[in-house]
Amino acid sequence: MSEREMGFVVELSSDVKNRQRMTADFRKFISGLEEGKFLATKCGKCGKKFMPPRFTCPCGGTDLEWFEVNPEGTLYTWSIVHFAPEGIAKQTNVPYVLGVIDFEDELRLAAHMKGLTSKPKVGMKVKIAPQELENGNVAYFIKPA
Amino acid sequence: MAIPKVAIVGIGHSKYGKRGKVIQEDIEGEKATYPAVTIRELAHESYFPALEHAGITNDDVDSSVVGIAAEAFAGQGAGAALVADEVGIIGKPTMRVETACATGSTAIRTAWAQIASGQFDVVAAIGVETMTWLSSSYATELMSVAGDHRWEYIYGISFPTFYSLYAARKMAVDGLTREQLSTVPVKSHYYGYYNKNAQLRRQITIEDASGSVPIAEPLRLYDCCLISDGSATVIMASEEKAKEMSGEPLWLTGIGTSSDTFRVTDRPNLTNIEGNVRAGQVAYKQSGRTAKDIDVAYVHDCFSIAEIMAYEDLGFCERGKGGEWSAERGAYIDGPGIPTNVDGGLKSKGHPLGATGIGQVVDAYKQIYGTVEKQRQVPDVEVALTHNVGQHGQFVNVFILEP
Repeated sequence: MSEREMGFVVELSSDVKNRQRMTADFRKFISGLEEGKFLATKCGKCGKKFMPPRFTCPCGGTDLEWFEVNPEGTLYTWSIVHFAPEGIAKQTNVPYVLGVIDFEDELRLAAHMKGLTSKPKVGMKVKIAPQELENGNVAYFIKPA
Repeated sequence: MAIPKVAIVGIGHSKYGKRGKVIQEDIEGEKATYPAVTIRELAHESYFPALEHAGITNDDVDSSVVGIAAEAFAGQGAGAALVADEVGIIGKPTMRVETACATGSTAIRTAWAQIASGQFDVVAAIGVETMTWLSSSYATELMSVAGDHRWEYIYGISFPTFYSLYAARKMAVDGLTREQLSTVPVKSHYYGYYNKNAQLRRQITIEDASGSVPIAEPLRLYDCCLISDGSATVIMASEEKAKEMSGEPLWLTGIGTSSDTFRVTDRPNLTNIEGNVRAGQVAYKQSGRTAKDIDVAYVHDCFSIAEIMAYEDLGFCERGKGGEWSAERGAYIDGPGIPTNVDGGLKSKGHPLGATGIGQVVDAYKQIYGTVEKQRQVPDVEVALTHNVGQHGQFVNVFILEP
C-alpha cells in the first residue's frame, strides 16, 4: 500500500512558525542539517550527551562540544495524528505520522515520518534524513531504513 | 515525618459542563465570540457554597490563591485579582498560580504553604476555567503550545499526541491492549453517570470506546478527556482555626510534588511517568501510608493511558500490569483493588483545567464524609488520594487526605 493510499502523506509546511528565536547555537544544528549531518552536543564538564542538542548543561557546564550522530536507529514510539492543533492544522494535512527515533546512547529525536508502506511499528529499523523544503528551509524526516 | 497540620474546612463545586459561547457585536460593530459564562459567575458557583460549608464569612478569609491555567481561556488578564474582587475577598492578598493541568492542586499546595508557614490562618483555593467558548482545535492549540516550540510543537505534537507516544510504547513493551485501554473510559462513564456535577453523564461500552474516531493513534476519542467550563473551591485552615470551627475537617497528611523533563524525548522511558512515582513516594512517606491504605483515589485521567500509568506509578498494581489491573475491575468499587475516579474522572466529570485538582479534593471530602450519590459511594473511606498532572508529568501533585 502506498503512503497516499494509506492516507498519511506528510506535506510539512514551510510556513509553520517556530516561535523560538534562531540563536547562533541552533543555527549550528541547522547548518549541520544542510550538510546532511545530525549534530548533538556533549558536555565538556560531565560528559553528558544531548539530542536535541542543549547549549548549556544542567550540571552548570557551558563548554559543550558538537558531535555527529549516526542517523540510523530504531523507532522508539509513534503516533498517527488525525486532529492537529489549529496553528498546525492550517499548514499540514492530517493524518500525519509522528515518530521518535532512538539513536545510539539513548539519544532520541521526534520528527514526522515519511515513506511508510504499513503502519509504524515500535522497534522497526529507521533512519532520519534532512530534506530541503520549498522555501529553502531545511527540515528532517524519519523514514524506514 | 509528619507535615504541619492544615485542614480542608469548606468545599464547593460547580457543575462541570459545556456553557459554550455567545457571538455578538463588539463596540466597533464586528462580530466577536465571548464565553457564555465568565470566570466571574463560575467562581461564585463554587466559592460561596464553600464559604457557607465552612460556616464563615469573607471577613474570616485571610488570603486567596486562584488557579487559572490560561489567560487565553479566561479571556482576562490578572484573573486572580478579578476573582478575588468578584467574590468579595477584597483588601486581602491574592495571587494566581499556573502549572498547566495541575493548576488546581497547585493552588491547594500554595494555600497549604501559606498556612503551614504561619503566614495566614484561613486561605481560599479557588480554581476556575472557561474553555468551551473556543473551538476544539483552538483549545488544542492553546494546550499544544506548552510543548517545546523548537523541537515538538512545530511537528504538530498536540497533547493527545504526547500521550499517544506513551500508549504506542506501552503497547509494544508491556503488552497493553486496545481493549484494556477502553476499560478506563467505560469505568469513568459508569460512575460519572451517577455524578450530578459531571459533564457527560452517559454510559458507554468497550465497543464504543475501541471503535471511536482516532484522534492521535493509538488513542481514540473516548481515550481523551473533555474540554470543560467549571470551578471548584476549598477553604483551608490552620489546626487551631479548624478546631474552632464547627464543621468536619479533612486533613492533608501528605503533599507530594514533583516534575519531569520538558521534552518527551529526554525521558528515559515512555511506559511510565517518573514524576508520578516521585510525587507519590513523598506523599506516602509524609503520611505514613502506602497504596494498600488508600480507600478511594482520584487520578489524572486526561487520557486513558495516563490513568493506566498512574495505577502503576502510584503503586496500585505492579509496574507493567496497569492494563490488566484495569481489565480485572481493579478500579471499581466492587472490584479487587482501589476504587479510582468514581466521580467520573476528567473523562466523564470533565476537565476545567484550573478547577480539576481542587474538584478532586472536593469529591474526596464528600466520599470521606459519605455524602456522594449512593451508587458511587465507597463504603468506610478513611484515606483518600488525589493525583493531578500538568502537561505529561512536568508538574505532579499527589495529596493524601484523612479525617
